[in-house]
Amino acid sequence: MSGRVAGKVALITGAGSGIGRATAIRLAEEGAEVVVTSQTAANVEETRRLAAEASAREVIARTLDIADRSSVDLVVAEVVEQFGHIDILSNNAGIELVHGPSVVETTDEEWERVFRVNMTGTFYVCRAAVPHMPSGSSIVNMASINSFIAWENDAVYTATKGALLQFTRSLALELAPKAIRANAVCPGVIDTPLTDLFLDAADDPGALRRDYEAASPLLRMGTAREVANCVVFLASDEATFITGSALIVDGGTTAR
Amino acid sequence: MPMPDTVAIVTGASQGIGHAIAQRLVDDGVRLCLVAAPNDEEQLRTVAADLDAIFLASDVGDPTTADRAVEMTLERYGRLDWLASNAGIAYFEEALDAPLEHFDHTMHVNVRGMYLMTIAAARHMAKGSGGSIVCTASTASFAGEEQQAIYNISKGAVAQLTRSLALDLAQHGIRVNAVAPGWVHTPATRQIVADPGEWSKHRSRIPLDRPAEPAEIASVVRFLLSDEASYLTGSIVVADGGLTAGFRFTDWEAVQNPDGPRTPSVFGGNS
Repeated sequence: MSGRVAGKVALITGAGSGIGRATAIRLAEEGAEVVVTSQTAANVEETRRLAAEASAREVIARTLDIADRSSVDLVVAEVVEQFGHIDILSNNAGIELVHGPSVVETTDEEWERVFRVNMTGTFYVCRAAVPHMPSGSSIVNMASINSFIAWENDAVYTATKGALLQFTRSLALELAPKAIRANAVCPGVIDTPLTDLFLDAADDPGALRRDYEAASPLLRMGTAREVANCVVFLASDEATFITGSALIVDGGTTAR
Repeated sequence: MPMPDTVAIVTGASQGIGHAIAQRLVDDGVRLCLVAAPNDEEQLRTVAADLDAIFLASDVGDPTTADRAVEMTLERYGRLDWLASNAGIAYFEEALDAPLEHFDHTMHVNVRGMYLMTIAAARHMAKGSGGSIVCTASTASFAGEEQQAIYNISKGAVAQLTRSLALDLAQHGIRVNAVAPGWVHTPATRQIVADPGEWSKHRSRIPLDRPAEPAEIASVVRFLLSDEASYLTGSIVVADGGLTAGFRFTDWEAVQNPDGPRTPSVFGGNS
């Protein structure tokens, strides 16, 4: 299958690495006009290059911290000026505290920073983009299995992902009359640079990697591309009756 | 005939969602064995001829049906990759009016039938290079809905069948997922959807303000069956137009579309 989102305009945040980057590449491969953002200039430039190479089409890259409201508004305005509208909004930008503080150890700054990026920033992007999304468009927010279950020493991330799922459901109800769909993808443990940071920080990286793999009955981590496939599906006209849903892509981790 | 790359069994294929799944898979080049109840034999024969598929009109709750379907598939095509375990029935009635026969019949088809078909297909898939199974669950797998207590009980079981078999079959390279449709425009729901008094109660709870067309459920099944969904197992994908994403009061006006009239577009697209 190819060309499933042909000609659609897609804005992808958090596209500098991992799931966001894979999503940018997959959407470009499937024919979308792609605009990618990340807060790290070098990363988003590399994604631009990869997505352009995979699709033989021009891809636009912008550096963006989604927690900065005025920058969000500027980038959305720029996309609208260029293309007139946005058909696909793929929100992936998110952070997690790699040193894994307990609730008691979490500082004000850490708590607020994670909420500002994962939840408030996503809200900023949605709020800015929605008025420019026509009937038939699709929002896909990158939530997590942490929207449903908790890990130890990951409270703030877990809280933001729970919030993000409920935000997505609320958005789905509000946007349904305009025939705009909003859904969440909820990945389990995925082999990404973010996961590598956790492995690098572990006392015994090999043991942690085995734990990550054993979390799924498929006995492996998922790939970023496998998650990106879910975003493409939800963004496409294959999913016209899916809204307010959580698509769990976790290799069975939460089935038990 | 050349050996096909992908072969699937679809149960409940004579009408509604099952028919749409079969149509979609054939459109994508998949060869099919179709199963439906003996009562639907004539319709099944027509669908099978139309889709160049083999078929079996037999009760899915009877263990020989599943084995026979797998056997026929292997004889004809030499392989079995996918199963869309879709056959299901529903009675719409007040809980206190429902005879025990309706309970037994619903469990026989929706639970026992789905279990038998899934196990028989998986038993073959486990011997080879694995496979992919998609069950048809329902929003009734998660939420109660009036006048269908027995159906809801059976679909709750389908959700647990999906999760549990996903765990046991992962080691054999078999993924098991489900689609959970809300209201779909099918022969089974036609009477309710056509009755304005009945339908308005349900419609007011659907944010997209319409039932799904069967093809919109078939496209979800197609995704879950395919390698695009290679890291999904034990997942139940809700395709309900937003029905279970939130709660609203039953007189909630689902759509206030200033651009068009409401009534004539009930069954159409959402544009």
